[in-house]
Amino acid sequence: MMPYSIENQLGKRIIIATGLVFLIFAIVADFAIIRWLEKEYDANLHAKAKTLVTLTKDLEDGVDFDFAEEFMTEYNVSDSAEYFELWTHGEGVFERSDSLLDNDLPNLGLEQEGYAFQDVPLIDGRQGRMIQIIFLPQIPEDEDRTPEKLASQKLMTLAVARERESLNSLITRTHLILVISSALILLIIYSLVKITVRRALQPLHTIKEQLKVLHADNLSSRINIDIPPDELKDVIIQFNELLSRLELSFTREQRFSSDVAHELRTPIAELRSMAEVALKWPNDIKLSTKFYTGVLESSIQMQKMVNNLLALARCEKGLIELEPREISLKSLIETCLHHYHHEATLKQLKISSNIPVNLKIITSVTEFEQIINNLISNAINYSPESTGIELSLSCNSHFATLTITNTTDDLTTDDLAVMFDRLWRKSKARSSSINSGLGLSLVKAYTELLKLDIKTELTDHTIFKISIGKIPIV
Amino acid sequence: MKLLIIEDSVRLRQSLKAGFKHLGYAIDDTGDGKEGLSFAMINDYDVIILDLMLPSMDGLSILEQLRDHRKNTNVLILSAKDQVEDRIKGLNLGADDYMVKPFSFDELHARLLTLVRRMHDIKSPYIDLGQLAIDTTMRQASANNQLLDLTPKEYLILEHLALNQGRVITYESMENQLYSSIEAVTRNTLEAHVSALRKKLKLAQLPDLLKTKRGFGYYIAKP
Repeated sequence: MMPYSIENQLGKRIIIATGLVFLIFAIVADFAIIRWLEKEYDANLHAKAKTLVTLTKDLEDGVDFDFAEEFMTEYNVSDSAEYFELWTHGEGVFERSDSLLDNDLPNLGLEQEGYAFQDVPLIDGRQGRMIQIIFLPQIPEDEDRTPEKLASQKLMTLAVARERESLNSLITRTHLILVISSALILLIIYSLVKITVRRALQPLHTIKEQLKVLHADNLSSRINIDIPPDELKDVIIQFNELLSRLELSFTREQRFSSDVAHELRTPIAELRSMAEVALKWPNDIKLSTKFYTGVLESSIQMQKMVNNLLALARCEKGLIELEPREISLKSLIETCLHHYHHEATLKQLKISSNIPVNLKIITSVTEFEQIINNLISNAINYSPESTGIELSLSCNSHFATLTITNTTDDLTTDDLAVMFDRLWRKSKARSSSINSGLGLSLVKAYTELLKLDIKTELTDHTIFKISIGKIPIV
Repeated sequence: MKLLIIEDSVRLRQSLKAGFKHLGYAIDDTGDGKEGLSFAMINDYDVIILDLMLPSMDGLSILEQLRDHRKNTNVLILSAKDQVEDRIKGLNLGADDYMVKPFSFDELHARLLTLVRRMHDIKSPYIDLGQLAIDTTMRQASANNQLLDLTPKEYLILEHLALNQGRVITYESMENQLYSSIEAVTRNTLEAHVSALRKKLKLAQLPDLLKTKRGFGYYIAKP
């Protein structure tokens, strides 16, 4: 079975359609040519018969047939003889050609003046065609043309026959020429259609070839057609955009795996090194005591990271059950700020907020609190000392938008696009044990879960704003 | 032996520092890339233990700068990056060894010793000085098959002189080997260690092994 392909389908259908149209045209042409040949043949036979009619004259002493056989040798006995026979109505055979010998041509029994054609077998066995004409013989002008004479004239019947095998042969040759030329033309159409379809589908083949060599390790390749057809332009654009997204996801995924490994390797290395050194010199109590604290800190760091990764995984798998309820936004934010009061005081940060006391929102508090905690923690950690953090609120009739603004000294606009990636950290050293680089990823995941909007903005490279929008208000 | 540890994880750095100090090594350490480069350019170390992802300057840039300035100090990269490409890149930039975190402290120590032996063109971990033998792996010396009870500093002095047989080791060079760059050391402290070592060698009936070149330093003569 032929495999399903656009090229085959398109080619087949175009060939069938054009072939059918051409076949109908060929049949009609064949029919018209045959009709024309037969008409010409009959016209020729008719002309011959008319010649013989003009030789038949009604004279005073009777009908005279002025036939000179030396000028019309075709009516003599020969292999290619033609035939005629003349009858007088009511009296029988008046004259017949020598070629008929004593035979008769069939009399069609016409009663009125006129003529008719008929295919007949000739006496020599050939196929023939015959014309039979009923006529009144001419009366010369110098003869008696009185009404009595005219009334007494007798109708005569002339039959002229000749072979029609030459016509049949011509018709057969015409059929043959039409069949052969039709076959040749169909073959040419087939080839042209194939070439045209193949050329038209060449961009698809190019795309196929380019896709064949596309692997996970060369996702930076793009589909590239020099002059793309209109029908494929959008497909190519969409596909290339898909590839870009795929490449980005793949790179992120690879970086994430490598980052997770790195994030875990370092605390594990710390734990192992501290344990080995402590075991090697067990009598160094001061060292062991110092390492206990180190082991605890490393464990807490790893625990935080694992907890955040699990929370992200639960979030992405939709395993978190939301419990929306009414809560005062101000009291929720004050609770969060209270957690970070010590850190903010150490850095001499001035925190201001304009959250109204009576504003209540409807949200799943645990997840919303996580969002606010992470954002406030980030704002405090990354603000330079003695700067300010502002929490502002804007509302419409249904929703509120909370914006946290802080000063920053090392963010760039490029960072805004990647800061929500898992394990992203501004510092390439990744040495901070306070942050694992998962806080903003969790914020993003939770905002999506709570159907909230999140936007970031960096003004003058120093003022960073992060807004949580679409917070439903009571 | 003097080491420089450039590692931004405080806990890892401290544990390494503590371990190597117990082994008697002189240690300088920092968690900052630029400061690490500055240490490496100013002082002479037997080996630099170098992390790759560092604040202010990454490890590969430090390595590149060192080699550009023709500093041939042994560099052992100690990184969480475990990809073959990372190792190749580090080694091609002039690192002498590459270890992936987490690691065994003993293996790290063994590799440091290998680098030092290679630096002195010695294949065996044993140094044979006739009646005196030094096992650099076990970090112990024996005279006439009797183990010498040496302190880490005394062992280091003996090992350093043995590795550089026939060469006078200046006082400054010896101090540099025994103490970190920030330790304040007087010549008397070094002389006290040398004197204690000589007493132990004398007890082991090797009174003339460690010689003094007045005004220059110490040496062990080639047999």
